[in-house]
Amino acid sequence: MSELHTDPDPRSEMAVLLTDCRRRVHRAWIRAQVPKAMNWGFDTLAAAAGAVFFLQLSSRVLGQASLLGWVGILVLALLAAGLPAGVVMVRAIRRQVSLTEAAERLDLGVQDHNRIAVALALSEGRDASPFGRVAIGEGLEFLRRLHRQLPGVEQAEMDWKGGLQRVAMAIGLMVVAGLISGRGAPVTVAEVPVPMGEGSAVERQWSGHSQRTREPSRPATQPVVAAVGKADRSGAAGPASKPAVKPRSEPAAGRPGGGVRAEVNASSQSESTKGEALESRGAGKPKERKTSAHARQDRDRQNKEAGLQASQAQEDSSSISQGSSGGGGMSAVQNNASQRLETRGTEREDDEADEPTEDEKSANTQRGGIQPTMKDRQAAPTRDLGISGEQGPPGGGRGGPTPPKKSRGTASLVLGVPIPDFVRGRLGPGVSKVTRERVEPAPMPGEGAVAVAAQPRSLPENPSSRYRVPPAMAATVQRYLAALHSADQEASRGNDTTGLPASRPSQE
Amino acid sequence: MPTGQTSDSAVQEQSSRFREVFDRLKREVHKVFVGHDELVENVLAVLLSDGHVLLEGVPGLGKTLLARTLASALRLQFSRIQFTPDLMPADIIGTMMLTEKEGGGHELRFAEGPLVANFILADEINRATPKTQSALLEAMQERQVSVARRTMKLPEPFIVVATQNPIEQEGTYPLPEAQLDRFLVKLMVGYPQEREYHQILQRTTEVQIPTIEPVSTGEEVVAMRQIVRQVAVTDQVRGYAIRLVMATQPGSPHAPAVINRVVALGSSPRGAQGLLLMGKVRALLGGRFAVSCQDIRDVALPVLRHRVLLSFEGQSDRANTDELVQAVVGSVGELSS
Repeated sequence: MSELHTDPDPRSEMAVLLTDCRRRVHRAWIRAQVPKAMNWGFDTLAAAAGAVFFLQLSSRVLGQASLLGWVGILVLALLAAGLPAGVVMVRAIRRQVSLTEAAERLDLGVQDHNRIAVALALSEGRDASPFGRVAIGEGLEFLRRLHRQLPGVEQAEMDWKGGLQRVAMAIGLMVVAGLISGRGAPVTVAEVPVPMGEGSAVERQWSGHSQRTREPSRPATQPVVAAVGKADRSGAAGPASKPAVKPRSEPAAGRPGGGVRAEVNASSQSESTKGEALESRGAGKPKERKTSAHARQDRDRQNKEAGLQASQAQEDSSSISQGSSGGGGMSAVQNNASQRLETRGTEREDDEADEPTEDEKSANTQRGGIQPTMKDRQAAPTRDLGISGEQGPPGGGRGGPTPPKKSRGTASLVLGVPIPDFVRGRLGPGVSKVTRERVEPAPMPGEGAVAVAAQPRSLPENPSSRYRVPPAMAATVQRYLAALHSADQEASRGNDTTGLPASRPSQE
Repeated sequence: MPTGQTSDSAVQEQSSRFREVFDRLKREVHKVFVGHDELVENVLAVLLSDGHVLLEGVPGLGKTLLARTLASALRLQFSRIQFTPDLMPADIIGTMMLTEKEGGGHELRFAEGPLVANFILADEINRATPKTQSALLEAMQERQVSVARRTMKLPEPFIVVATQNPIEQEGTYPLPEAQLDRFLVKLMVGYPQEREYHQILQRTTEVQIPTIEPVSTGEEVVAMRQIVRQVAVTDQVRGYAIRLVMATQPGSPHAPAVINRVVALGSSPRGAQGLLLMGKVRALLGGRFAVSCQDIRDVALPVLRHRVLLSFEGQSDRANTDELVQAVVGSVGELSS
């Protein structure tokens, strides 16, 4: 040990010796990050596959066109797997390994009491203690011998089993998602005004085989439904068909069992009258039906007028009949009047269900503004103050009676015994406080006490004087005590050392 | 101002002297106390790092013998206090007594209790009430005792070696956390090996009973303590000790999941102090001049095991504090970055 000597600048020598170690630490670090990058890639691939699958499935269920085709899914998968892995690797490559880290990792690899890192850290301090200086020299010697050792870098563990499982799951999900996207476009309803043919009706364009299968038959009296394009009929939802589709009709048409409302919705879109549009929108969205009574009355009036006009026009057989987009058992195309009847019938049921609310609202608004309804009125709370026990509604924060409060103790368990929840009286004394004063003794003002000679008691002290003997027993007790006294005297006269009476008089 | 070479040789000399004193004491103790090499080393390390030690083990394993032997090997003032349920604080600290003056009259004079000594053997410490146990608090931490208005410094070196029995719980009072925290280490005394039984029986049942000679003095112990405090500690090692202590505290960022689940109270900063002091002794015994992370790991169990208080869930799960400390040591990394 005595040959140890500290270099004039041990830190610079250590830095030189550790340079190669830094490179090796960097390379080992990059290698160690590969499993981590792969794990991340597998994780994000699985997550992306799940997201794509649900996206495709939901678009399928909602009847919208699939967002991704096979190519899109493949690109997304590659991005999902490669991007995080790339980020991890780029960060690993760009990482700078400091001298301290190199020394600490070399110590980890050597496993010999952190001599190198200790020496490096102590050499940075200028006022190293004697023990520190010796430690620096010792660490430098150690580094000279062992600087080519392998540094200790924790290898991230590769979860091959879990990774393969995730990849398999991702591939499966993506294949299913691709199949979903390949099954064709969902139902779209296109409305294209065409010149009047026989029947003079707007031709409805149907695309999507699922909707075609859902519609069982079409009455012969209905207007002709023509195809927009061959591509639509073949089942592939081409983007070219989308502009002809009105967005609002898509959900209704695609929803299974859209029924009457879907038809009404579709027919209403082709109409230009404001009232019918309102009506059909109301049929399609139940929430919007809860409007004010005034608006409803106005709408009814407009509907009636429009209905009359439409029926007249249809009777003239030169008007435009309405198409229908709905599936189900109802005819796809009906005349305007029948549709209106249908719609009104549906609305009526809803109106009846909402009647109390509507009436209340109208009653509120018809008095010139929102006013509290009479039904909500409650009796004003009394202003009687007092302890609880009154039966009544819960207190409104304004005083008055409140229901009985909970009380504790056995008495509260006995029915019919009202127990106030507080005890009358003064407040508790609170925290006790002890004060000490330094006071010199001083005589109290006033006259001193006068000493009086103690006198003997005036009355004899015996049991009979302390206890009241009943009159009936007075004579007996007197005889008993006299006998007891005489017995004591006889005993003392006879030199009886025990001091006890020879014989106790028996109680009579 | 000594040159670098001179300073280095002085440090080398101090280090070798430390090891020589340590080995001398260890040999003398082993004349009577057979086996348990690590236990003896730890007790000596506590003595030289200015701490107190709590020995725990079933009856008959030589806890008291170890303490008595060590006291005999040191030329120190020794006191043995047998803790019993009726022991009062005044019985161990001392009390003011009314005494007669030589020239007449009376005066109050402080009569020192057995606590006023260099080497205290607190035998069966958990048999005394917490009131009496707490009388040791000031003595162990501040190295002084206070009675009435009088505060008296205790002599240096001062060490308390306490023993307790883990199985006879009836009629005992578990040490409060504040008291436990003042012990630098808690050492478990286990059963000896088979070959050690032979030596024990030979030494205790035959005519020749080994005797202990004092091989060191109080002044030498104090000097050794000064050497221990000169051992260098780097930020990396200090940070490692701090992270270890913090990892025993539930809710800390370094605590593993099992600590958060079963531990109610972790180690205090005294734990980190103990880790470094004991680590310094180990570094000196290893012929090194700076503490390493390995030194800290080696002393983590005796230093931290009694500073981890289990939660109700931990007690119901029968969690073992030794295993928890091992889990903490396994979860905390050495690297400073």
